[in-house]
Formats: sequence, structure tokens, C-alpha cells
Amino acid sequence: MIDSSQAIAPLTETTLYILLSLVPGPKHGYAIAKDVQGLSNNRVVLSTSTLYTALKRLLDDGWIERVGEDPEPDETGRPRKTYQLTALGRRIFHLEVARLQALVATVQLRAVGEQI
Amino acid sequence: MKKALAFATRFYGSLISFYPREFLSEFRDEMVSAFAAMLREAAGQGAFTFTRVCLRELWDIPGSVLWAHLNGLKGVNNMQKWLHSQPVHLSVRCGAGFGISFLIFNVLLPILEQSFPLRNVGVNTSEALLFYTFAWISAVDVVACLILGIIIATAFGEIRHPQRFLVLAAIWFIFPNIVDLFIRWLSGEWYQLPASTPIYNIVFFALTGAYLGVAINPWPKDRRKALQFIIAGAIGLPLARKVPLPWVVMAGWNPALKYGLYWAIVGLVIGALLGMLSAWSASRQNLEVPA
Repeated sequence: MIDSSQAIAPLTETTLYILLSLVPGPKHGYAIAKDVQGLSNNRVVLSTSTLYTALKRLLDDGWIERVGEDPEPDETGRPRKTYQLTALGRRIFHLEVARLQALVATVQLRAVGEQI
Repeated sequence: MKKALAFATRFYGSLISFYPREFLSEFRDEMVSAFAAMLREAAGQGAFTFTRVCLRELWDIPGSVLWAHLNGLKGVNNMQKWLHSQPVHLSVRCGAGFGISFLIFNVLLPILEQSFPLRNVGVNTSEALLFYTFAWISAVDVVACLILGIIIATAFGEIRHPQRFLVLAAIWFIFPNIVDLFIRWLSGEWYQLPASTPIYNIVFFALTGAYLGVAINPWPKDRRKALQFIIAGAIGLPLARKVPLPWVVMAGWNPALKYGLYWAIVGLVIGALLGMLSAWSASRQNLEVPA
């Protein structure tokens, strides 16, 4: 069940990128940070503090969930926990994408009108 | 670079101790692991990138820590639980305990010292008289410290082992006097009363840290923290002595009350510092902070 305020409220850039990073499948924290950096063309660089406070918030809100451990441990041999989107998280992500698309379409329409 | 990497990772591990305990139990290992991985990659790109990653983390931690704490404040029960688990809680408790203890101690000390009939002797008196003066003042210090020991033992619920506090209190005050005196006796110049030389101050600061650390340490079985407490005491006391007091306003005050108040503030600062250190240390080891 999606709360209407959750569905309408625009996501922060960090949240959107984290959700986007998890769309293809589960990832561990460091992989998410690397992916976000790549997706944003090095514009959004997440510190570990920002990353894990964001992950904590998303976990608490039920947008993502832990799905176990990455088969490849880190360099010290410690297992890495992986995260994936929940059905709620996926739905919110798609709603946000639709909102952004509508916004871009409106902007484009106005820009084209001004050019004519 | 390997050393810098190891140091930065350890330092980061200490810094994140300021997150709430619940948050740490959930994410500590992951955060350290991810930070280490980021650093390793940055180290491969040179010292500049390495420094930039470290600075970025330093910059982001306070805000994240604040968010994590505020996020835990949902409902009165949670808020109380949160307050009890925070370093500031133990700091306030320790600060208040030592502030009050120091106040009583420093009001009592001049009263006891006034009982000495020759307390205003000058430096040109005989060695025998100076030694007698020293012995008398030291005895008064020990008595006052015994009282302080009892107060602290009572205030911190350690009344079950009062002898520990009494012995410590006596050592705390008398030992710097003896060291100071011995060193000046070796040099052949001991014609000043104690409490005036750098040697005395250094020994006194270190012992204050050790004494207060042992007294307030909520985890007495953990002996590893002894050095931390000595350092904190050695830093805390000189720091507290820099606290400016409104001497002009207090000009007409009773000297015992004035200095009592001064030492109350000193005690407050030292207690707060050591309380913060204790809680921070406990947080790193995931120990429960006693309420």
C-alpha cells in the first residue's frame, strides 16, 4: 500500500539514484556507491555516512530490504550484506520516474512553444 | 600509503562511534568495510584523491550522525532510552557528581587548613619548621581527600568498596607532594611549600585523571581504559583551570566559597570530559551504559 504523500513527494537525488542502482538487482553498499557515481557521471559521490543513513531510511520505510550476503566477501574476508528493492520501493521508483517524465514533457512543450 | 590507509580506517571506525548504538550494531562493519574499500581505490589514484575521500567523510559524518540520532527520537520512551545511551548523559551525571564533590571538598579544605597555627610562615624560616608546615598541610590534604573519597564513593554508588576510594583519594593528593618534595630535596632546594612547581602539577594532573577515571569508570573490570583516563585527567585539569570566572563580581565573596565554586566548575569540566570518554569508549565496544 502506498501512502499518497509518499507517492507524490519528489525523491531526493540521492534516494533516486540509490533506487535506480538497485533496479537491475541486489547490490552491497559499496557497489551501490560506485554505481551511483557512475550513473551520475561522477556528479553524485556518496560518502559511506550518507550512503548508510540513506539505506537505513529506505530500510525503515520498507522501500528496500536485505537479501543476504554477497558471495564475494570484501578484501578482509568479511561478508557483505546485499540490498534489493521491495515491491513498494519499485513502485515508488516507477511513480517518481513517471513524475519526472511528465515534468520534462511539460518543460519541453513550453520550450518548443517559446521557440515557435 | 598502507599505514595511512590503516590509520584512516581505524580513525573512521572511532568516528562512527558517535552514531546511535542501534545504528552501529546494524551498519558498523559494513560502513568500515565500504570506507576501507573506497580508501583503497582512492589510494591507487594518488595522495590528493585519498585526502579528498577522507575530507568528504569528515564533512559528512556530523550531519549523518545528527540525522541518525534525531531519527531515533520517536516517542517519549524512545527519547528517554536514547538520552540514557548517549555520552552526554553520562557526562552530565559525572560532571555534576564531581562538581558537587569538588565544591564541598574545597569549602572544607581551607577550614581544616586554618587550624594550623603557623600557616603563614615565610621562606626564611628554618628547615625544621618548613618540614613541619609541609607535614601538617599534607595531613590536612589527606583528611580532606578522605572526605572527598567518601563523597565520590557515595555519589557514584560505589559505597560497597569505600576503602578503594579512600586509599585512592589519599594517594591522589599526597603523592604529588612527596614526589615534588623528593625531587627538590635531591637538588638541595626544597624551601618552598608544595603545589608550586611544574613537577607537582604534572604528577597531580596525571593522578587526578587516574583517580577520577577509576572512580567514575562504570566498567571497573575494564583496566584497559586506565591510560585513557590518565590522559583525559592530565588534559582536563589544565583545561578546566582556564575557565574564566567573574572574579571582579565575586570580589566580596567568602574565599572558601569562591574557590569552592571555582573547583566545582573544574570538577564539572573534568567529570564531563571523563564521562564523555567513558561513554565513547563503551560505545566502541558496544557496552551498555549504566543508567
